Amino acid sequence: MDITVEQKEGRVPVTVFHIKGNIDVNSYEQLQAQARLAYETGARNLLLDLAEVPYVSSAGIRAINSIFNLLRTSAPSESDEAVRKGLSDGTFKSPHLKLLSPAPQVFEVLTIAGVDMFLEIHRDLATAMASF
Amino acid sequence: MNEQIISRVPLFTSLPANEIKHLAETLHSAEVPPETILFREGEYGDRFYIVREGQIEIIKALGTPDERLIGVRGPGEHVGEMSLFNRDGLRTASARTQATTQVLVMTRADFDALLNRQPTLAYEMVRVLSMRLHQAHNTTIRDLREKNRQLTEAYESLKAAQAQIIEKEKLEHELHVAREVQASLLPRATPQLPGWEFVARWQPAREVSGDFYDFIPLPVAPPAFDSAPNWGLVIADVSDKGMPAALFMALTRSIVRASVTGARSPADCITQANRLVCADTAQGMFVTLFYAQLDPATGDLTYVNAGHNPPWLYRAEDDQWTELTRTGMALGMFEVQALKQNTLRLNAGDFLFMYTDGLTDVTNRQGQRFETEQLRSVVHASRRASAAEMVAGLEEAVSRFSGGHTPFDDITFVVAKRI
Repeated sequence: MDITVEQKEGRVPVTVFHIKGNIDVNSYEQLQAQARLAYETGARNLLLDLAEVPYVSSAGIRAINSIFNLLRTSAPSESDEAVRKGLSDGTFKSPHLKLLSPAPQVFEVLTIAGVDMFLEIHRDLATAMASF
Repeated sequence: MNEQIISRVPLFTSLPANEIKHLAETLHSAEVPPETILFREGEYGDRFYIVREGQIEIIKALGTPDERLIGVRGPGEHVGEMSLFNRDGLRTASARTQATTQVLVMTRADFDALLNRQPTLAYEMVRVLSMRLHQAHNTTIRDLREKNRQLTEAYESLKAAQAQIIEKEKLEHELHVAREVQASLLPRATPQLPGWEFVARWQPAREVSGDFYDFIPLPVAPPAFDSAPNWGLVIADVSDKGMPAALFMALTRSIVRASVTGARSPADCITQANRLVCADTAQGMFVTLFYAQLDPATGDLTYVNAGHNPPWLYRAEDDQWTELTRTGMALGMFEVQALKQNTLRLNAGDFLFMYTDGLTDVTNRQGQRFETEQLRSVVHASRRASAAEMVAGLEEAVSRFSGGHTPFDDITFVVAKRI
């Protein structure tokens, strides 16, 4: 799996990971490490471009989950109470981590695991950038 | 010319000049081509050679794996003297010319005559002999030391390799024990309920598995003590492989068992289970889980699907399939999540097919996956058969598909059929 990192400027700086290859048990640690590195060099908003990812396994879901936790802040809108309510009525979505252009089979895996219940999934880059 | 050569031979340096002259005139001379073997170790020998020009190699164990060069003789040196002093006269080493070599040859007869004429030569002999012996001795000692070092090295490597094997076997044994512990955590038998058939399969990809299933009797609250209990059906998949997954599986199983009672709604029970799982999850592990509370008397089924690949419900009445999709996220992701539930009723001929994604991940030799559609058509084909026959048919289809290929992921599935 390869990750190309791109810095973009929207309303806020957004780090885009263009990922190529499967996100599975062999590559999920690499993704997590890359995200951690980005975070430690100041990235606070991350967009995962999944256009060239043919397959995501449960290990990949775990990586996405851990990146979500990494970027979660202590802002009131992200507090436990807000998240609980937001999850319940479907209004909570992470403001810091978003997904872009998953292939149909990857989208299916994401929805089964419920990742779409707390992460926005966008179909094009412009909309994704504007959402941050 | 010969006189010079002869007098350079250490054995003969102390000979009087007239003797040297005599030898120079009487000794036979020969020219030997390169790579010629003058004599072989163990052969009878009765002559020795003084080198005029060229080089002669002295070799022990010629032609065997232990062959080694123990010396080279150049102009003014001699070879083969040992056989003259040795009563048996056997060569103690082999001699081979390196290049074209010119030699003066002295036979035993010649030597005996010389010794008669010059008896003090005997002292020179002893001196030269002991020098030779010392040289050969040193070479042998050096060889032995080297061999010893090599053996010691080989022994250390062997010990290390042995230690690794023992370690690996220990680990395999531990995993084997862990698997037995895991297997013992699964229900020993499926529920025997009149009007219902249950079949379950659990096949770990490795020694230990991240999948589990469970059948949990839920005692009914008073005053209905004498009515049949409800049953909790569980199928779950931990998001990992190996030992960590196996441990997390055992933990989740216990948490679920402790959280489900007949008194509270399944949604509340699993929401509680999720809180407990979150408290113990490390490294971002999560578990997808499908839980259904079944009333066997009525066929009412209330289910919660926490991020698990949707089980199928087959309805005999209209020959239709329904996927029981998620009612929440996997457990272990969000402590604050409130899971939801749905209720439906199973009638005669209906069944519930629950499975983990290891089943659809089975690949054949061409690298194609079994896929959901193929799985459903196989199950559909045996929809009127008993649950046991359905499972047997499915196992055979999977085995045929994979062509004996070892599955990559754990395979677990449960069938609950109302007859």
